[in-house]
Amino acid sequence: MTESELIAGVLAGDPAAERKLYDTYVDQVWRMTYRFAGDSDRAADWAQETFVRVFQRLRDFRGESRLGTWIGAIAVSVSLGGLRKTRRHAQREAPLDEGHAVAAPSRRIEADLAERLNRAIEGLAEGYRSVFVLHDVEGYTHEEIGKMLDVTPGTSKAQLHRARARLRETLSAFA
Amino acid sequence: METPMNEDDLDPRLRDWVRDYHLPPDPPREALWARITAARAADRTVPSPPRPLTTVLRRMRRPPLAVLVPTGVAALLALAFGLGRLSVRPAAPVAAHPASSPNLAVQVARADYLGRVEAFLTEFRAGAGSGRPDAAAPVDARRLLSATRLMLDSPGGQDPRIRPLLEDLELVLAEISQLPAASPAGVDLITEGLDRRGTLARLRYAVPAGSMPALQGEI
Repeated sequence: MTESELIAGVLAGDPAAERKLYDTYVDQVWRMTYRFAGDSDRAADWAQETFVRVFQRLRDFRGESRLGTWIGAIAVSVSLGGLRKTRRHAQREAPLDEGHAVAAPSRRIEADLAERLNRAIEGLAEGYRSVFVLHDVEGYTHEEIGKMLDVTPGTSKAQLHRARARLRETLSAFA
Repeated sequence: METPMNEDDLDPRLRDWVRDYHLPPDPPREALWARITAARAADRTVPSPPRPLTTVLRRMRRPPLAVLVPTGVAALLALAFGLGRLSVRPAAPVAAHPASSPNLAVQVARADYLGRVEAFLTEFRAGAGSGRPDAAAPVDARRLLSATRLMLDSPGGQDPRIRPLLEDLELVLAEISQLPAASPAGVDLITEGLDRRGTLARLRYAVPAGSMPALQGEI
């Protein structure tokens, strides 16, 4: 089944096509939401929201990029929205509960490089982090990232360059 | 396949660690599919509130001027009469729930933002209708897209009465911002989407509600 046949099937309300679309893209969506979320609960919430939006808005897909890129853009948008919401909750709750899990990592001194790296990535500004995760972690090209984040490939490259520089700085401070 | 920029910027040892960053387990395929199916079914059972108004406003959009002007005057008179009646009541409904409303600054910012998006989309639609889409539209859309994301991120953006509209605007503005130059087919698809979702009508419906505090001083 080609991509356009799949889309036509979903738009016609064919349940088999809907399931096929889900099966085709669930791994990609799950990987993206999980990379941003870092836990299964939030990743599942965001993956669910991504697919709900995909089915709602598929009629608006103009075919100017691959369907996977368009779905990826929705997954990124949902994940970034989710991260912002999580940060807001964390900011609200942290003063009330000093022992809250969200506040704890910043106070712990971890010897483990992976843990330090996780924190350094999570400390990146949203734009840097998105490009870094999509490019260096997930392996998307700057062209694909540009389409997903609505920026030019040049901006994506510049953001990646700054993200790496920021990571190096942060990690050297821990060394 | 592109050559990644500054490939040497990341230590090879770090590159291996980076690949393990939030390494996903296998997706919970069936459980997730069940959740998606349930969420979509729930969406379908909730009627979309602004549809009837959307339909009415859409029909009102293109009547001849001879009909529109008297109708508009009559509507304004009716509104003025209604406001006059409201103003003599001791407890107007607007003032009855001050605690549940977002604060004045949020409402003013929201009204200003919605007003700007409405003006932009109205102009975009008019340009599309006349076959002369504004060449600067993608740039303007990009600016408004940033504002939309800020609105979505703000406490006011969590309001379930306005959030679906903001999400719709985010999508439409993202589409316009990516519009290639001279793409009438792209413009048509966007305006078609605008009409189908009733975005402009919902926006127009939201603007006066959001701008009430600002307007009250002028009235």
